[in-house]
Amino acid sequence: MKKSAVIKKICFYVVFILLLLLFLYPFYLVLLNSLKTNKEVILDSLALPQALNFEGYQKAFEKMNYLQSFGNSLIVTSLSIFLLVIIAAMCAYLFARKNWKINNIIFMVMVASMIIPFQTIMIPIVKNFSAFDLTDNLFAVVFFYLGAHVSLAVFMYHGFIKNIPYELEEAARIDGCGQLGILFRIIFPMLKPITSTIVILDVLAIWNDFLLPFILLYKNSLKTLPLMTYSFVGQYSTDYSLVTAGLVLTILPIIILYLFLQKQIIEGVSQGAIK
Amino acid sequence: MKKKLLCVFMAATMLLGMTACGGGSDDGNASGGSAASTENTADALGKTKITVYLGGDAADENQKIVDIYNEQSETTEVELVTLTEGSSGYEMLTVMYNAGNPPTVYFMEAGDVLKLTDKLMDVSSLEAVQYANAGTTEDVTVDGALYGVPANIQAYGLMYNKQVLADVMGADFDPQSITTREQLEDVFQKVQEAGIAPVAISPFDWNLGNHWFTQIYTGQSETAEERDAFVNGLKDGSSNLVENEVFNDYMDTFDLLMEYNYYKENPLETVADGNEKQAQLLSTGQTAFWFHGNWATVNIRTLDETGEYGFIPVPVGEGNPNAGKICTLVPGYYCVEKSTTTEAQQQAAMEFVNWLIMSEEGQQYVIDCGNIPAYSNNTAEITESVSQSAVSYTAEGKNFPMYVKTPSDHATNVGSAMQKYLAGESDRAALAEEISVYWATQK
Amino acid sequence: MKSSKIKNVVSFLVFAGPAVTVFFLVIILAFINGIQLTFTDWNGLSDTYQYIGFRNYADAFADTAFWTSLLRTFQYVVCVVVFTNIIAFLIAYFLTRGYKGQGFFRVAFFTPNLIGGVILGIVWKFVFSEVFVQLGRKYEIGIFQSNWLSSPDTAFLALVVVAVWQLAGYLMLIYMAGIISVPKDVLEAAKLDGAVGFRGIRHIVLPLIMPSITIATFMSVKTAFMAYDVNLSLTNGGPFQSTELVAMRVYNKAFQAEQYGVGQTEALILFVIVAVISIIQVSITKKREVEA
Repeated sequence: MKKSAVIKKICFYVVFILLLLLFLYPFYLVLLNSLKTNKEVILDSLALPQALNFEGYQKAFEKMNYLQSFGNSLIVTSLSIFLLVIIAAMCAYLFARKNWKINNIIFMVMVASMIIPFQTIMIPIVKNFSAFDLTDNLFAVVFFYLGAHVSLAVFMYHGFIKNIPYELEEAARIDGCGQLGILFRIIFPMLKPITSTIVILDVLAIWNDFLLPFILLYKNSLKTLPLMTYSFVGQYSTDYSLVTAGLVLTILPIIILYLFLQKQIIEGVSQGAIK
Repeated sequence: MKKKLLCVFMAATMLLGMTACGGGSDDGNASGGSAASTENTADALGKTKITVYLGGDAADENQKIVDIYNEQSETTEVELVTLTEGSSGYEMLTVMYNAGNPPTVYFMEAGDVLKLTDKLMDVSSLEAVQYANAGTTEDVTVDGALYGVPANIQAYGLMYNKQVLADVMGADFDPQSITTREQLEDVFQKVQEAGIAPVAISPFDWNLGNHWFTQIYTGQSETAEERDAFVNGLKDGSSNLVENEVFNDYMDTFDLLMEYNYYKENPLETVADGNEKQAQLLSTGQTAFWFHGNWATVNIRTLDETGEYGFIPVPVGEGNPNAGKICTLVPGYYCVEKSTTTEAQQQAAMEFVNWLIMSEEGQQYVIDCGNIPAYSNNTAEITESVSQSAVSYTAEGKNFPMYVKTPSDHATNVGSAMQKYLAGESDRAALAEEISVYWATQK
Repeated sequence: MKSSKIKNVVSFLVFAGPAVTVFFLVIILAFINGIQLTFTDWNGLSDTYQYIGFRNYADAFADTAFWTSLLRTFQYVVCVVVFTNIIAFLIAYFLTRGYKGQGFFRVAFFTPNLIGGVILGIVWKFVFSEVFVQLGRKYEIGIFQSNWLSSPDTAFLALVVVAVWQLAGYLMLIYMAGIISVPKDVLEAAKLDGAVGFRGIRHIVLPLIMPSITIATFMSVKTAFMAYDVNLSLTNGGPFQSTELVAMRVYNKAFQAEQYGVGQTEALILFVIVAVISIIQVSITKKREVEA
């Protein structure tokens, strides 16, 4: 019994460490090549750098207007997520608790809308937004993300709220709590696990999104980080050392953010399990 | 507090919703915005603001030339924009037009310029136009109006590494002495015996479909009318590709290149990559020839700053009008937008374009980007050996223009047919058939 | 009676109002405009267009290249959905069993999702054409001797590998949330009843995490059908258009072939097909949730 447990343990670590290498190898390659000169990259992309070369980072930092684009991304992402979580939770709460026809219809429409290919609504969206002079406006981008991501968030909240026993609300109602009060005082705290999941998934989607900011933001001073990276990669596509350095600079903040959020999400998930 | 915030937000959303619905009815025409609002077109100093897309790979050079202009211009402020999505930038331009926000000046391929004529200024009045090289403006002239001025010229043919040929063939070997397939095969054999792969074929669809295959259209005749007639014949089925002499002539040469291809074992090996792989082969002396153009100088110079390279024409039969000539093309034209811009912006844009071509700095800019000037008054010295080689042909009129009146999906469709041929998945008859079918669907 | 109806309307406006409003203004409005454009001959750029009835639909149904790429996309979706879900579930299962360092593994496996698709495509292209080929030649590993992206079958496989690699970490989180929420005593009881190993997984764990399965399958079906970014930057449809998935086909039709109306129509057909499949899938798995 004990021996087989040890063997199991060894198998686990062997398999998972191999998997881990497979998963992380591409990142290692990007990091490695960002520290080489362009010539070194072209001649042998696997070799170690002859000397550490940080020139690419310095140039990429400047050319990408790094701090400003970082700030733009931060504003768009955090504002979108904050509003998204509130409106989606409210909507899902109503849909989960009231079995009205209109709720079911809208819910189905929302689910169906998740499979609309973005390319097909890209041109109409540009036309609609520009008709109201909403291009080159960070808040217009936020508005778009609310519309585009709300259906998935409602869908996820909906499934979760349905599993929360109705009796909990009854008690609060007897205590004289209004519906909004019930939602935000009683239900919302219980949604923490799914909220963390929604937050992390949407943070990633919005932070990394390229096509939408690309078609709505033209001024360099308003561009988000991935947008600057892509145009940077496009312009310097033949300079691999520069491109990889740009990629590392783009990925870095999200990795740091992720390490931070990962703790929250695991906490949230285990809290959900205790319930 | 939470409730209040919520109310404010909701009210705002509703309001936005209502205004959006109220204004949503006037959707009759397709263009997003009309004239740009005037407040955006002039800054505090009274300078006219224009946005410019210059195309090309040389991002640093583009920024530099714009900075120089802004420094010396007292009336105009130029902002550089980039259109990175899509290879030609045309897709992104479509999006920007729908947003009512296209660049004031932009760089576009001839085929795309022709789709945009109703939105573009006639630039024939520019001083620079009179200096444009022969054959560089016809493709974007419609009913006497000129919709763009050529940015520069590019050339392609069989590029060679001079050092490799000198090592194999002897120092006094003149690559230009190769004019027939037999002579080329002879050189190929000697190169192969020296343990070097004779030639590299880039397997990209744009390279095979647009650069190689369009030679067959131009090879039909000396005159543009008869070339068009041949292509129109492909559309209505009256031109027979498989029995066409020029088609077979070019495919014979292609067979020869395939036979001595560096990638003979797996011809599509680098199909998903860029051309830097072949640039590396040529510059490190792993191949002697490469069917490609001067735009690859950027890649070659990363690896080899001093080596000498040049072109020879693709060898074809004697009766072929393209024999002994290299192919030249105008990669893009500078166009001036008129449908969303103010008159002041149009004026400023015209001045900027003219300056770009006429000024000393603008002429040097063409050279710095590794390109070949398209204007006879450009006196900047060409130091790049690839460009020098190309100019030695164009100066004697030994060049033919690339056929550009192809649909935008020509590269994808004809290119894939050529890829199958290259990979040995189809023979010449099947290739001709596939390309004929493609053309038959074009109206 | 009446007052309760008013109350319902008010609570609908308060609770669902903001979400429904933004949703309709952004997505549905654009979608309807898109449908309208399928009846026109608009080329994507001109100021005017004509209504041409159902001609775009006739063209779309006659476009064999579209149906070929749709069929290819079906194969792709099946491969991606099956492999991703199995791998994601297994990873999630083993990472919730209390081995040391599982938190670290979790973080690591999710990392591919931190980066946008186009960038991932660029990175993997580098891996396939440089690293694998170099390794294959050095150690004479048959399957890596030639570039995977250079022939239709292996290029297709490469697309699947990258999709699985990226999506597995994402679905892993969904499955983990499900597995953790399975009460410990249920598992203990099952163990005492002799339901261990794969039998335990099949009869105890899977039924209890049906909600996770619903979401994970839905996400993977949807993502696989919509695949565009990686397709673009990894193979760009090549060699000879053999890996052109349907989203790319539609996009190229609209913008490259300048048949915006036909492209838009094909996109609509794609939407209907995916909608039908998803609705069937969600209703089947949802039903099982209720039973479990």
